[in-house]
Amino acid sequence: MTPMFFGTGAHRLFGMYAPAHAGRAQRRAVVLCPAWGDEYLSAHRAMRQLAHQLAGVGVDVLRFDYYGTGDSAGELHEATLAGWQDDIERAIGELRDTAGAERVGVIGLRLGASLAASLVARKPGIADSLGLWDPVCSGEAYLRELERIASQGAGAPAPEHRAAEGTLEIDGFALTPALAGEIEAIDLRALVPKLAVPARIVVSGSEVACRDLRAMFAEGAEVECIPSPPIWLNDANFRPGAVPVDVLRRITAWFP
Amino acid sequence: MTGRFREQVFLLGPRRSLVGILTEPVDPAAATGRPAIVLLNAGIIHRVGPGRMSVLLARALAARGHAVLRFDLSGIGDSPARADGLAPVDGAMADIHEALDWLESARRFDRVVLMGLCSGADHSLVYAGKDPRVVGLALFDPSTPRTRRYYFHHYLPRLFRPKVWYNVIAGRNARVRRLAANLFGNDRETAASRPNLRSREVHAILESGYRAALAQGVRFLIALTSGVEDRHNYREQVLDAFPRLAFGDRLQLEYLVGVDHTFSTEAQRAQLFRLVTQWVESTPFAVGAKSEPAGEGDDIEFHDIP
Repeated sequence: MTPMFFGTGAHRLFGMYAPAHAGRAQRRAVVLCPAWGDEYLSAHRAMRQLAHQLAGVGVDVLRFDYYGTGDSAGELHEATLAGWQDDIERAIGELRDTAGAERVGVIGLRLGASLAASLVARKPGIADSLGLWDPVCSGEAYLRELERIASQGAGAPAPEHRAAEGTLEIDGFALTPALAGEIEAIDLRALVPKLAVPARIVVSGSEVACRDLRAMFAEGAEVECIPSPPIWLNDANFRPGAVPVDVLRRITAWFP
Repeated sequence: MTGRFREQVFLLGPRRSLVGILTEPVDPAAATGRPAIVLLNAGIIHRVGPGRMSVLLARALAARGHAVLRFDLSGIGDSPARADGLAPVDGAMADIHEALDWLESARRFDRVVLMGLCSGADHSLVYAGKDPRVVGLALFDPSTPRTRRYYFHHYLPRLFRPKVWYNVIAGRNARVRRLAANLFGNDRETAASRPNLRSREVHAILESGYRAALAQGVRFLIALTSGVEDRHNYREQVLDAFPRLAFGDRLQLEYLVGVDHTFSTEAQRAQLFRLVTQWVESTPFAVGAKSEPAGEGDDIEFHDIP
């Protein structure tokens, strides 16, 4: 894997490029869109492993960090979801240049899945495939979930996590009112009619969640339920850094 | 802060396998004469640190004229596992040595301050005495054996709570079972991610690390947070746990009340950054022997964040 910074000026983004292993006639390329906050940290190892496996089946892969997150430039309080969608577009352009790929797909985890779907809905033709791994379907429900996790976190400093100016601090990540507002507005169902490419979805949770997604997407997506730990959570029930082998195998199978 | 530092990504070590980010002042000459700062992984969290604290700390320090390297140990984050079969701790020691070699050859730093949280603190401590280039250690929540005073602080308040006594009688409370284990020597502490602090071997390793570092003149900043009360709960616990060590004036010891283990709010991180900055900039680190630079390092990218 090759680490790099890409982007311009003060908007440098950090990326890890995993070139496709030699021996594949067909050049395929995918940008991986990470989750956010503590979910991003907890899922980092699984995303790295996913990139490795995809490269192994002949896919050029670029993982990257959104502006104001990870190793990328900027601070979180400057970030917006609209800006992060632009970052996905930048990553697609970078991968196109780096790998020489004409067609690039996107795969997102959790909030990253919702961002990827939003971008594809807004810009038809930007990606030739869309993969959603446990997507955030309702921003409102996601926000409530973040708040609940924060209030139960080990060493939580206080029951009230609101810092100055309404910023919510969730497991070390500051969620500004502006960013929270954008997250709250996420509605995957509303995006479905606008998606120009069929989505492929994998859900680690229950059959109920799968049924909801199947109903939401109707014929517009292939939804598969694979019982597996929610590796994006910092959960005491499984070891940190766990890799959901079956889920990764399924996603890798999207590229036969 | 933007515009006062620059960042580059490198692959470090003879196998170019350790992924590292070097954050420097825009004018690298500003860092000349100062030791480089090396931030180690906290547990298995990759080099950005919990809540991105390593990124933000590196940038804050670089903006004040310090060079800071954050990198992933083998098998953590983006660095692949070593192929030489070394045990995890030995592998970490070898990785740190390779990172320091790179700093010396590529950037001419022959003095470093190792800095780390949790396992990063433990790795820093165990490594320091093995390499004379280490002149400073900033340890946040290092493994610290519990002491009599620790147990006094831990259990005394509970003696006055009726519910605790109810649970003692009923045998329900997990703490009661732990207390019984402590009293009767049946300690079943087997935390996977931290050393067993009741082990004499672990105590000896930690004491040996402190002793070796002191012998080479290393300066210490040790900050204990109140967020891991199950491991330490007062400022002088390090001194009481290792009574045979003589830190003299080479130790700045802090106990951070109301701060959790991962510095999970902006205010807590700001408190830590102030503490680190003050310590780094006021400490008279030993002046090491100058070594001959070996030329540019094996950088693979050169991109600035202006």
